[in-house]
Amino acid sequence: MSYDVVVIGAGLAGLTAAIKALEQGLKTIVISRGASTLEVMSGCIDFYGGAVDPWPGIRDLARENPCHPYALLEEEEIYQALSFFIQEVKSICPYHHQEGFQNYRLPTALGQMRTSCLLPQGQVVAAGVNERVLVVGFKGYRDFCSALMAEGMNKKGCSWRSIDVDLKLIQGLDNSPDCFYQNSASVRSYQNSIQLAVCLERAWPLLAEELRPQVQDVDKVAFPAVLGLDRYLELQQGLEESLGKRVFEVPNLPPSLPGIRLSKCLMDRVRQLGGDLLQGSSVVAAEKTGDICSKVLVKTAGKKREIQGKCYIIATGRMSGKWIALQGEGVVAEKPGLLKGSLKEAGSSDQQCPRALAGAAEHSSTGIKVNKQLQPLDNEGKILLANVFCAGSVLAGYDPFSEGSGGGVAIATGYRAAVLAAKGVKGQKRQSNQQSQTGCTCSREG
Amino acid sequence: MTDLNETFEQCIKCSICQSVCPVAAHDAGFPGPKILGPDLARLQAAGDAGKARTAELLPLLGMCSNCLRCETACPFDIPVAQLIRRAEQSFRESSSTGSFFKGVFRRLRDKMLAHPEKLGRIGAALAPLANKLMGSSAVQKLLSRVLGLEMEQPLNFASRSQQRRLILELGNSDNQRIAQPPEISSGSELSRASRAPSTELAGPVISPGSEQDSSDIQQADKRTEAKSFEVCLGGSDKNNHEDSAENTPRYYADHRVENRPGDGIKNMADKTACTPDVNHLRADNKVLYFTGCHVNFYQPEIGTAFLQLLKKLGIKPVIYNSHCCGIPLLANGDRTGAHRAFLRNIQLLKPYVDQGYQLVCTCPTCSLALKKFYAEELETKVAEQLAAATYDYAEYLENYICELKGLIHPVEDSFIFHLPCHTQAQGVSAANLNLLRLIPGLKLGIVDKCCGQSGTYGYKTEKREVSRGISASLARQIKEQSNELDTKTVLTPCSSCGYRITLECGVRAEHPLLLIWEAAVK
Repeated sequence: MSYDVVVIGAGLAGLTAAIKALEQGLKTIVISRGASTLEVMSGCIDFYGGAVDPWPGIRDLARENPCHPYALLEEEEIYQALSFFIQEVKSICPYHHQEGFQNYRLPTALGQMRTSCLLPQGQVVAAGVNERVLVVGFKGYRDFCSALMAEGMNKKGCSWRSIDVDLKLIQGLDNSPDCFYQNSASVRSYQNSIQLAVCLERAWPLLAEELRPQVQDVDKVAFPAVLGLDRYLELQQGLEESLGKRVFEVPNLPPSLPGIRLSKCLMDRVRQLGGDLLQGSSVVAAEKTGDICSKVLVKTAGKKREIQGKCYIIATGRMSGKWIALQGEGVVAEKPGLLKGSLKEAGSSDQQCPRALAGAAEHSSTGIKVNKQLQPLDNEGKILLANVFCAGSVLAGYDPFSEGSGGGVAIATGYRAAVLAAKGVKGQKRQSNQQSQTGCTCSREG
Repeated sequence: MTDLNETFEQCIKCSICQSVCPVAAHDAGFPGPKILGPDLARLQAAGDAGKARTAELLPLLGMCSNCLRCETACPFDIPVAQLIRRAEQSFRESSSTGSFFKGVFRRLRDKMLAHPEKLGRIGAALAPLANKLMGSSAVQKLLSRVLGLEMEQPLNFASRSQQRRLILELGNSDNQRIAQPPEISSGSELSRASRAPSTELAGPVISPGSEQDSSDIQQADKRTEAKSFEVCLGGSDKNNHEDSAENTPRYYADHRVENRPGDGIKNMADKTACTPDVNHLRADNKVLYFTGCHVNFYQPEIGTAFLQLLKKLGIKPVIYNSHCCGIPLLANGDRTGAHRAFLRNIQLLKPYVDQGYQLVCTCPTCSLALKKFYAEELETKVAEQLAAATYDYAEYLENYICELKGLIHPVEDSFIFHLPCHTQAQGVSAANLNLLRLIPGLKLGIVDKCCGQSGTYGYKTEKREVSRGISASLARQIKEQSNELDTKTVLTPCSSCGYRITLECGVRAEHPLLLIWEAAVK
């Protein structure tokens, strides 16, 4: 199979890159080892955690650490990428932001406050709450504790209440094919968020009925993030109308519905634009000629398949994507051997990027060194592969977890990688048009 | 072969498999792939310490529908479904005692579902009667009550004459058409093709400046024409097929056709200077078509369409329509039987693979069986060798994209493409889509959800609710898309998914090959 752009990795960076590439008219495939990492994420997108105004923090990061991905990007570009992302998900999985992309403050499932920049529809109502809130949990559902959340918030001076609804109530519908089917095995504590979400898509009126007498004295009602899998917008709206109160979801343990919805939305968008998804196949090897990567081999059932691309975007994430692995004591290796020499290895002395090597954060800032064009560099600073662009947390020099910068870097570098790839592909096309006057090149246009 | 016990140690409990599992989403009693796969394996490895919990989980293993979505979704390459299958088999082996009344009938039903080949033979022999009976609601009720068999979408056997048509299509009639020299066959077929860039499709090409060679090739063609469509039957089934293919030249597995290099397509490829991306497959055009039970007994037209398409491309496959792939046996708990079936197929197919043949399937479960299940179950080198030589039809046709482009005419229509779980599990969904994208004017919507049928799973009374629940959520997506695209046809490479989609959404479901074939002959 041959593509203009081969995106490796289906996280936020990879999918953003794929969508941008497709919108520029490039034939694109997204290869991933498995489902998107977004499925275990909260669905909130952070640029810079901590302060309400993230931009001074972002400027500081870029100034202090020239290797930081934010240092490679213009602020204008980050704005552009964010607007692009919001536009893309608008119709299916709407996201909200404040003016100038300021941070929202919202409560966590543990009753603490956190900041985030882009919030999905279901969570935006939670922002800035200090009113009276009813936290609804489910008996027998172990991934959310309503009392814990209410208690945490009450310690901060709020007046929140909690209630646990019996699951039997909504399981009364076992004749409907859409709902839980209870077979001979008694209902155990197996319920996961997905089951609950699927069930609630149908059974929510029962839940609303049960809650109506309880919500008279509150302003908002909080639920764990299980309000529907596919039809969550309808469900939230239905609950709000039926209860007469605003309703919000609180992200909890994986599998995380807000993350699943976002990943579905982005993947559907990729398919809608004519892109391909290859899930469950890892890239095991790559071939290169000079500084051009010519093809990658992916492992599929029974055999390895070749996938050729004019450009490659590497957005595999770090350790969890297994593209980068720890070997022995802190030595880092990249599996397909494509970027040998480009990895900023933990423990190596690099005076330019002192932050990256600070103490415990050693592994969390390990990644691929790139230039401003997001092309991987070798140890001497020369471009290792000219048609490869890196995006997202595979990049070296930053720690998405402690900085709360994962989402912003992913979207902005993914967007930029796709723009650069488009330039690269067009350049290659021009060259090949000049060179090959003979033969039909079997392109899609022909 | 990796040790299964090492693989489950990779599990970090991210729960992604739980979130994609269609059964777990619709059945509160099902613990989900994470718990029945890696967790259970860990408990079993713990010995006595894990015994109590293990005993609680083992009876729930049979609820897995083997759709493999968990394996496709796992970001850590853990063979989740394989772990579940292994645990289930060891459980079944240890618990196969006790026979009460209901159990007898359920076992009878499982046996019936496990042998689509036998069922198909009987059904096909009695096709008009059997189809009528299966269509009656009284019979359906009876089957559901007594056997625990849900037949709301009844099996529709192809009659013997339909089957014969397939075999004839492969056999003499086609041979004659192929044997026509290019001048004579310049009828409708050629003139239509001449609108397209590759006019040479109708026959071997006489390339300028190499007259000698090309006449040689023509001669070679004539020499092999009698053998060119070979129906390869397993020895044990010799008698069963005796009457159905009187006119067909038949060869048994130990006969092998001698494919001449330079047959049609390779020559043509040189001529059109078409430069496909991956060329190594087409070097000598050795193909074996593994038809599978569905083509054999229910919808021979899929096989016919595929073979005619191959013929247009100048490819002459050996046909293997003698045995079931064996997956229904495995899915219904007959591991020994399944292994026997696997080994029989391997024994018959190995000589071809040794000669460099590519095995091509039109059914995603058959190809997945050859690619994955044989190797996982038998853990032999031969099975791996077979796996490496097996191709899904779309994956195979990918190498002929240039030629197909020349053949295919626009179809101004919209369709919904349903990606079956087993197509996804092979990583060939992109190939399937790319093939359809060759048709100009075609609008495609894509749905990517399990249909709930999972081969024989959906036929079982005790699985009915879960199975229909899964279908309902797919049906919703299909309805949305069909309103959007204004279409009433779903394309799906898996015929068992197709049946379920028709039952659940009332839309027509057909194999994409039928559309491709239509676009290629129009």
